Parts: sequence; structure tokens; C-alpha cells
Amino acid sequence: MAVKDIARSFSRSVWLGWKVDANWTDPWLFAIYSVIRPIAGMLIVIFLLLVGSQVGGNTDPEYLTYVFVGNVFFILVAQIMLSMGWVIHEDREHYEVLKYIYISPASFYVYLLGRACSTALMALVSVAISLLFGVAVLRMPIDFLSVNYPALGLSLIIGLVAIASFGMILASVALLTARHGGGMVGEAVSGIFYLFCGVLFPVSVLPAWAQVLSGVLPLTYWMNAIRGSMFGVGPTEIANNLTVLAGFTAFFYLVSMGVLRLADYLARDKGLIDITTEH
Amino acid sequence: MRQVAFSGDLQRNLQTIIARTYVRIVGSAREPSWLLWDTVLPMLTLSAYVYVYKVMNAPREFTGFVIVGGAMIAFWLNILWDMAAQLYWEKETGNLEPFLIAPISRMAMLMGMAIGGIFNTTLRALGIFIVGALVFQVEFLIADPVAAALVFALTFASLYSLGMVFASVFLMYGREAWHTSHLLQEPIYFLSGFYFPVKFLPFWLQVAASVIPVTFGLDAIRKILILGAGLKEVSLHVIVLTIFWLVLLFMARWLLQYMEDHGRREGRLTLRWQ
Amino acid sequence: MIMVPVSRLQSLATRFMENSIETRNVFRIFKSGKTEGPTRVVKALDDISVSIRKGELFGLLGPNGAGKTTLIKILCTLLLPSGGSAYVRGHDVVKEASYVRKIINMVTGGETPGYGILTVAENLWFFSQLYGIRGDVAKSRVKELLETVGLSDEGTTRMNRLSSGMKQRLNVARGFINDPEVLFLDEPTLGLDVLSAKHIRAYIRNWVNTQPEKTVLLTTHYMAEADELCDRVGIIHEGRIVACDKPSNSKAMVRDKSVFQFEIAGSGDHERLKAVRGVVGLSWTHHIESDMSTLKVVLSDQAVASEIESALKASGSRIMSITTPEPTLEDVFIHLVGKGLE
Repeated sequence: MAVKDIARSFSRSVWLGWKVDANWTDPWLFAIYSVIRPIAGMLIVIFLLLVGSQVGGNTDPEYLTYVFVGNVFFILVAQIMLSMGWVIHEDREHYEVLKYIYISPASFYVYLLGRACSTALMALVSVAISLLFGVAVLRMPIDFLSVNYPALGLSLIIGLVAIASFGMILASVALLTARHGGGMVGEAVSGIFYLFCGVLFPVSVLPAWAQVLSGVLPLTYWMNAIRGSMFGVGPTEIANNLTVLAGFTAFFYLVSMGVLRLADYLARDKGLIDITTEH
Repeated sequence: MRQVAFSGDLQRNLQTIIARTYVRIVGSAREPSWLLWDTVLPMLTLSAYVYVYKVMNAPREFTGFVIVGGAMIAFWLNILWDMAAQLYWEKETGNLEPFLIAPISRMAMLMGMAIGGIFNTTLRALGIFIVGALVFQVEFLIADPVAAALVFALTFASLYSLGMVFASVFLMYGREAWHTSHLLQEPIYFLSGFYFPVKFLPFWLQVAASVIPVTFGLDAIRKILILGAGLKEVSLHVIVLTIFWLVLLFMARWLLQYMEDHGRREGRLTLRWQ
Repeated sequence: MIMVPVSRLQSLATRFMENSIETRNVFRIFKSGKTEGPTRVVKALDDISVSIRKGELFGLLGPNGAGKTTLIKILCTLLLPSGGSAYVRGHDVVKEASYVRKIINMVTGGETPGYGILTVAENLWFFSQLYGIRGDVAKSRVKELLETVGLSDEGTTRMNRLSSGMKQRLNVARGFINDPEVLFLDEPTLGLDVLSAKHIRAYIRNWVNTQPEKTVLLTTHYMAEADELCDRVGIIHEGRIVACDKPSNSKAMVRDKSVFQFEIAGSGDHERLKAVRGVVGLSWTHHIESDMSTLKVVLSDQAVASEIESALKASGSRIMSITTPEPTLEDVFIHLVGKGLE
């Protein structure tokens, strides 16, 4: 496929993702929704910590900030996984367009990537809002002037590739499975990263076997790199995390391509591209 | 062709419940990936919150609170997504029209959807309790099984009534209702005390939380299962839940009719892709 | 106080009971919603008054967007009229929807409701339960209907494995599951192959013929289907019923008119022909495969045909043949509306 065609398919998919996710209400209501949602999610964790510190005695303020940053950036993971777990079912069974997209000359992979990118862009806005809320209202000790923005930018880019790769794996599996319940598949799968990647606590808290799993998930290093960037940790430490992150991301990217290819073959073999599984 | 014999209204609605339950159960049996998505993986997020309490050195019963909350979330999600939003799925897949022109109670239809999802949900809840007991060594004390059964029954009854109230919104609206449900999910987790007892919230938030039936249900179930309370200690919860159940049931009945009429008037009842 | 003679009441009641479907001045307005740009108001139905008797197979013929589906939805209790009143077997579709639902069913062409993950038989059984059909009766009914629509070999096939035509046949079977008193068929043969469509039409006709208490309201934009099947045909255009009579009587409307059909090579400009005096209406269809066009004109006088011929030749069109076909319902439509159905 020509680069121009790829770029066009990609941009149209991003546009489509935006339209599907945003045009259900008027812009003001959508803006309010975009602000409230991430904040509500954040408050659960904040209160969990406050309750925990009240009953347990651990009042380390650094831990609160640790959790806050982890939870805020995890929005990217949760949103992209939710979107990728849902897009196949929605396109296939609700809008019944999946087969038409599939048979078009546009790359299906590029289409899915575009949809993931659309979600990522909206999630980035939620991240920004949550950070501002945290600093302004919850008085989180984050100094935006001492953030290592180049490192943060690089962490985000590589991290998003990693998240998109996992999203692609999830979408591939969705191609082969039925729609159960409310499309919480993405939320369920993002639980893997929530538990094992140091979002709410250092991975050293986990049992040894779990730490091995944490060690092979790229998002563990992503979380470290993000925190390092936000709090001005030494460049060597960030660079180490970024290097490992890049390595694992490359690996999982290749895995995701393989899984998508396999799912594509199986879906065509079993006639699942335009199947309905609603029950 | 043989004459068709028809049953009365009650029988017909019971048949509807059974038929819709059948669809859900058979569908789940024929494609069992839900075992992973709905049962195994959700335990991971729950475990994350357990570890947070461990890091904070919180007392052991807080792990129990999270486990009970996680189990209740399974039922909450069953109501919200397997029942309330089901009308939205039916609409989006073009199935709603044949239901709406059939001489059945909308509540019967919703009941069938909810009951059909209960098997999966119960499995998820049981799995969470087992993980809680085996992995996190939570001790469950059921000093009063009658109280436990009564509170469970009333909590579910009021939750299902609330679910029917939500379902009425999906009759009229499409994606707006879906996104609003997503939006409300976390505030309800927060306010109802799914992960921590409501008493830790500021008073004004506790008042806000008291309009959600699951707040009382969860508090009572925690008291019974983790703190060994009996019927006497949860008698207020029982009364409140009973009131919730009855009020929400009537509200659901009225709202389902109102929203349906509204949808018919606006021409949005079976309008897909809103 | 107004006194109404008992005989008048009785006569009204009798009329009601004889009429399966009755609408009085029904109209329906749609307004587009807030996320759809500037608000648009569309009057989908305008002053619809029609009575359909028991035992009648009534056709509603009109082009796409004429209001056929909107009327069906009102009668099926899915949509409220913006004004006027509608009754099915004497029950008000607005106030007595629950009674109406017990005695009706609907089949919409091009849609295939059901659960892909269930088998054909399970899907039919499921819908039978919504109508309270009991145990064995439901089972045998499902079996009968599957035989009728030619799906008896597919009973254990999952619905998501059926071809579109088979799904549509299943949809038709679903419409008969409760043996309704009034059946609404909204383009039921859409998507069916010729043989299947023929079979379904024959079944519908036979169903009404053998059960004089049953009524069918069929909407279609295929005039041949309406002509073949229906006892009476209502022609609907832009939300209004412009004619309502037996097909033969409707066609008689154009008997004093002349209908000519021109087969022309290629496409051409026919707009100017409308201005020719004596042209009541015309329809122009271009067949892409053969690159031929068919021009049908309804004329007030036979003599105008030669003017049409001259006008066509003057514009460079090559006329391959000129015929005078028997009047069809489309000619009636052209006569009433000024243009063709499609």
C-alpha cells in the first residue's frame, strides 16, 4: 500500500473514532463528560488511600503522589483497551460495517490503529485534566516546571505503541469471540496491567511469581519512566527504563501483528467477519 | 394448521422470562469466552485494591471489604450492562421491534435478561470469594445465615428494580444513555463504598450515597460476612432495602411506560444508531 | 346532552367490528434531534384516512420515503401519531396498545431480527414464547412454519450461518408464529430470490383466502406484487393516500388515457417532455446493463404520442420500439402523481 493511502486510511479512522465517541451529544455536554469521568475514577483511588492511611497508619505523602500519577496515566491504558475490546463488536453487530471495512483496500490493521489513536488523543485530554485537577484541587506536589518533558514525550510515544499493541491483540481476540455483557472486556484485560505494572504500588509488593510477570510487561517500565519524567529522576534511570520499554514494546508489537494475522485467518476461515453473537 | 392456544397475561410473562433466560444461558454456553472476561480477569483489578490496603497496613477486614465489594460489583454490572443496557443492544441489533409489538410486560423481558446473566455473575462472585479466602486469607463469618439470605435477597431485589429504572432510559435514548451509564459507574463505585466503607466519606457524601440501594446492601453484607453481625444489627438496612425495592419497583413500572410512550411520540423507540 | 340513537351506535360498532384497521386523519411529524444540525421538520404522513375490512389483503403501494413504514409503525404501536386516530380491530393503537399487541404481528423486509447464536428453531420458539404459546403447541407450530417457508432442513442451524434469503424467510415465519388476526408486512419479499418471493406471496394469499377473519396490510414498492396479491391497493405519495381501490378499478382510471411505452437506445433528456401538452405523467428508467431506456407516458389523448415521438427524435434519441401496454398500477401512479414509482 502506498504511504499516501495508509495515511489517508489512518486519518479517516481517527476521524471516525472521534465521531463515534463524541457525536452522541452536544459539545458542552461532551466536554463535561470528558472532565467528570477521569476525575471520578481518580477519586476512588485517592479515597482508598486516605481510608487506608487512616486505619493503617501509613501516611507517606509520597505514596499518595505515586498512586496519583500512576492512576492518571493509567487512563490511557484503560481507555484504549476498552475501545479496542469494543470496536470489533460494535462495528460488526451494531453498525454492521465491519465486513465493508474489511473488504475495502484499506488495511484493517491501519483502521484499528486509527481507532486506537482516536481514543488515545481523547484519553490524553483526560490525563491532562486529571493532572490539573490533582495539582489545583488535591494539592499534589507536582511541579510542572521541573517535569522532564522530552523524556515524558518519549515515554508516552513508546508507551502508546505498547498499549496499542495490546489493544490490537485484544481486538484480534474479539474478532473470534462473542459479545458478552456490556463490552467490559477491555476493562477486564486492563486489570492485568493495573495489578502487575506498578500502577498503584511498587511491584516489589507482589509475590515473586507475579514480579516475574511484571518484569516482562512493558507497561511496568512505562510507569517507571513516566514517574521518573514527572519527578525529575536522573536521566540514566529514565534511559534504562525507556530502553527496556522500547525492547519489550518491539517484541509485543511483533506479537500483536502475528496475533492479528492469525485471528484474521481464523475469522475468515470460520466466517466470523459478519457474524452476530448478540444474546 | 392447528389452532394456537394462548395463555393468560401472567403465564405469558413467565414464559417470556424463561425464554429470554434461555437465550442468555444458551448463548453463554455456546461461546464461553466470558469465563475469562467476566470471571477470571476482573479479579485482577480487585487484587490491586487489596494490595493497596496491604501497602497502607490496613487491618485484615479491609481486604474482606474489598472482596465483598468486588463480588457485589459483579451483580451491579449484571444489572447495569446485562439488563438495563440490554434494551440498547437489542435496539442496535434490530431486535427491539418484535419485542415491543409483542403482548408482554417490559419488566418480564428485563427480568429474563437479568436472570440469564445471574449464572455468570454468581460464578464471578463465587470466584472472588474463593480468591479472597484462599489467596488473601479473608475469613468469612456467617453468624446469622437467615440475615445473610434476607439481606442478599433484598439487595438484589432493589438493585434489579433500579436496573429496570435505568432500562427505561435506554428505551428512549441510545448512546447518550450508554455513555451516561459509563460515566456513572465510577461515581457509584465511589459513593456506594464498593472499596471502602461509606462511613469514611464526608457526611454530605454519605447522604448522597444513601439514595443508592447498594450502599445499604453492601454495608449490611459486609457487617454480616466480615464482622459477624446478626439480623438485629442490620435491621435498619433491611427496612431501608425493603422500601427501596418497593419504591423502585413502582418507579420502574411507571418509568418504563412513560419512556416507551415518550419514545413512541418522538419516534425514537426503535431508532438505531442514535 | 347529546343523544345518539342506539341504531347509530350499533352501526358504528358493526363498522368497527367489520373493519380490521381504521385510521382517521392520521398525520405524523418528525423533528430532527439536537446533534443533527439545524432542526428539520418532516411531515411523513398527512391526513391518512383508510378502512381495511376483515379478510382483506390490503396493499399500500408507494415509492421509498412515501410514508408506508411510518403508517405501519403507528398501527403496530411502535410510534404515536402526531394527530388523528387509528384502530386495529376496534382498539385504539394509542390507548389500547396492549390489546392490539395480542392480535398483531409484523414482518419487515430487509431486517432479520433474532439471535445469531441460537438455531433457527430456537429463535422461532423464543418468539412463540412472547405470545404465550404453550409447550407442545409451540413446538409443532415451529415445525409447521419451518416447512412452510422451506427451512425444515435448517432447524438446527445457527441463525448466523444462514444466507440473507433464509434469514428473511425465517423473519416471515416469525411473523406468523402467533397466527395473528392482523398481520403487517412491510416489504416482506425484499431480499428474496424470485422463487422464494413467489412462494411467500402464494402463502400469504392462501392464508388470507382460507381464513376470512385474518387481515393483511402489505406495503410494497413493487407494483406487480401489489397487483398480484391485493384485494385493494392504496397508493401513497409524500405521506398522502392519493387513491384507494381494487387494482382493476384503479387501472380503469387510466383506461380513458393512453399509455405508451418507448424503448430508447442510450440515455437522454426527457425533462422537456413533461411540458408537452397532453402529457399527464411520465416515468423514465435507464437500464445500465443494456444501455437502453424505457419511457412510459400517460397521455390525455392518443394523438399526443406522435408529438412525443417527434420530440424524442428531435433531441437525438433513437427509438427502438413503441408499444401500448395494458395499464398497470404504475400507470395509475404516474397519472395521479406525474412521475413513476422508482
